[in-house]
Amino acid sequence: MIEKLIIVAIALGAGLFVALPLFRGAGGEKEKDAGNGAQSAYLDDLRKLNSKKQHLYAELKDIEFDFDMGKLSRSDYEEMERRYGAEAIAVLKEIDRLELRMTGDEAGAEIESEVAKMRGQVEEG
Amino acid sequence: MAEIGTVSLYLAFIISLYSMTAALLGAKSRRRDLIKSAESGLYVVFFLLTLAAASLVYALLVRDYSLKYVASNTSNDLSATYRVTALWAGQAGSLLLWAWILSIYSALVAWFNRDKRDELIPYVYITLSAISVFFIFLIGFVESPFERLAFTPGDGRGLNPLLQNAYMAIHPVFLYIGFVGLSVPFAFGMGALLSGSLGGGWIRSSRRWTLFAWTFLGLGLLLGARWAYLELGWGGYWAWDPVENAAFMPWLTATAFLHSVMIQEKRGMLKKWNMSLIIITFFLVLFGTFITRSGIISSVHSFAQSDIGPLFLSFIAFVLLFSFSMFLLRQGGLKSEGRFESFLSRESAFLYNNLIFLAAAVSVFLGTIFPIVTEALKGEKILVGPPYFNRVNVPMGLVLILLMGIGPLISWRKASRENFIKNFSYPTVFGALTAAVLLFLGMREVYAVISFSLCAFVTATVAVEFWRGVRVRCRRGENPLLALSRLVSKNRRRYGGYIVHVGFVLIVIGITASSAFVIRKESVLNKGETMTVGKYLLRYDDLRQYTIEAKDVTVASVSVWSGDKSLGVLRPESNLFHYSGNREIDKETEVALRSTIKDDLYIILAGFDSGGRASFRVLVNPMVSWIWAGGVVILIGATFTMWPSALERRQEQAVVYPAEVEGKGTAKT
Repeated sequence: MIEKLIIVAIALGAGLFVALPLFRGAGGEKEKDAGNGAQSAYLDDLRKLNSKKQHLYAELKDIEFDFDMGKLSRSDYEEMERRYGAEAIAVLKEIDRLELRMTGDEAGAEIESEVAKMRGQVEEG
Repeated sequence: MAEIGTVSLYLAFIISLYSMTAALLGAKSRRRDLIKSAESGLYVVFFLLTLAAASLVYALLVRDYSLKYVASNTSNDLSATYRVTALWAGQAGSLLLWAWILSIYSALVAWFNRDKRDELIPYVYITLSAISVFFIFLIGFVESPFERLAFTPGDGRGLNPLLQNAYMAIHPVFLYIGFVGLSVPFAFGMGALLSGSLGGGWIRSSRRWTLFAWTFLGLGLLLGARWAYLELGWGGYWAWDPVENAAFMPWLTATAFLHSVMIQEKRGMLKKWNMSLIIITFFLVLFGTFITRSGIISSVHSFAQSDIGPLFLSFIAFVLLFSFSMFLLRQGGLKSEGRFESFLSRESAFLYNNLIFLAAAVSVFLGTIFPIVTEALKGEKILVGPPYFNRVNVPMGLVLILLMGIGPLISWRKASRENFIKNFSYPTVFGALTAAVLLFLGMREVYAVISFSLCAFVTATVAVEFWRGVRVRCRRGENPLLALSRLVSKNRRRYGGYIVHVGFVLIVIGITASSAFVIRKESVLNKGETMTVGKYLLRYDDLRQYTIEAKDVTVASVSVWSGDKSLGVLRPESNLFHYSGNREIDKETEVALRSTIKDDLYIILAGFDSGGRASFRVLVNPMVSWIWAGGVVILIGATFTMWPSALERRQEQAVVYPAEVEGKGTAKT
């Protein structure tokens, strides 16, 4: 009998745990995803770009070290440094562009919220 | 408890199916709640399979012989430790272990990626869940470890004596952690193919998983070799047994993969090759499990046999067909960003190394399946013995050692003459000097001279790498100790890799010496008589017999001298296990071993008679301990490589960053 009760409890617990994100999603996460879709995409892009930036920095350091150790000829070193450097600059520019866009959005949202607050105060007054 | 185990398996099957479906729907509709639900499913499957495994361990411990598995693999006289390790002694139990380890990996993958929004992650969950579905189906519906007998016997049939060894208690677990762990990079590869995110992301995300699995697989192989050396009593550690080969093949291709991904990361090349390699590696993992678990090839390891073969073959065929279909469908996105500019470059050296690893895997595969093919075609198994495997693999192994030395020193893109002279002069001279000294000392075994010289060459390349690196940092104003410490800590992957190479050099030295210079001798002695083996003098002193609960033990006392120096008494044993049971093997030997850095004195009590005469098989195996030491060095190197560097920790922070920001509702950089 106890074994059967345990089995029922396990089955119910497992089902609930798996279904929980769906309940949360119906009133929260899914909605949040829809509402904050732009921010979520922005953060995702930013994360990828930051990761790529770190990777390129590491590559540049690696190339320099290989050159110092005599594993790369000067011409190869210069060519690789130019290529990775250009890629890193492009990534930095992209990060700046994203940040600017997001800061702009945030500033806009802040203004909207302040205006709404003031309107509320006026109406109450 | 058995009922809880059974129901846990059924529930795990249903939830794995659900996770697969939810992740698929979530990925297609971009619904995060569905993906999160699939992720929760992976945690729940881990919990349920842990419960199932715990139920079986409980049944083994309390000797619940109403379960067929417990009655078949344990007995009343079995110690508690071996009752627990009986979890993987039989087929159903080891398949449960497979599924359980997979569930641990799946839950960990879900946990480490819980905040990532990469497109490929849901597809990784789908792949892991699909593999899980198959294995849980096998243990839930085909070969259940919780199957009950019609009656409850008073005692079980016992555990095979050969499995009652400390190494056999841990070797399968290591092997399975390695074996099953290779499902993770495969899942990431499939995730990339299914989602179309074909950049280097899947390789970066799965790199540490691959290295972890590879390390455990390698250590599992070494532990198995150690077990064979101590337990099987034939004096060797590797016999090209099909089951050894089954674990060795994926290790070969995984090693190739670990090297070739560096080319993709560095130069954007070999994308198709890497994808194919990880598919082949996973195929070999499944194939290895199939041949060891289906009983298709009988060997000393293949104790369990059953009828899961056709199901397993169908699954392997499905995996191959589906993976390569996806590969063909997406091959446009797997185009190389660079090209090979010279035959003499690091990328070319890595490609040669890959080709040789693959060729070795193919040769081992052909040798392993040859008996199956001949049996299918001619009705007679023709076994391919060690001579075939050695003839094919030894030359390839030597070329691999050479490449192990060349790879780290050669330039990317194109090696110049100056590069060659600057980087290779010291190691080449050191290797050549080693060969000259060995020849001068009288060594005439060609393979041994080449092997030792190549090992010297590789060691020198590693030393040169460390020395040059320290020198460069010293020029930047660091003192030598600080320079060395920063050199390795700032590039763990590279220098950890070199430590792994040193471990391999030790293993190769041990294998070469013990294969080329082994001394074997057999003698039948009366008490008090002596025999000489190499530099050792052995005197047979005494023979004792006693009985303990599980076995009759016969132990011989042998005094050993090296020159005038007494080295003490060694005691080889011969054991006869009591139960008659179903086992083919009820007799086993316990080798007496005296191991030093120079050689192993290995004594087997091969037989004895009632008059006290005893027959001994004695081997002097040079430098075998170097093989085990090499394993330890590899573990150190691999751990060092896996440990996140400061840069990787920063990247990890960048990865969790969105979630933190999201939680706080602000975005700051």
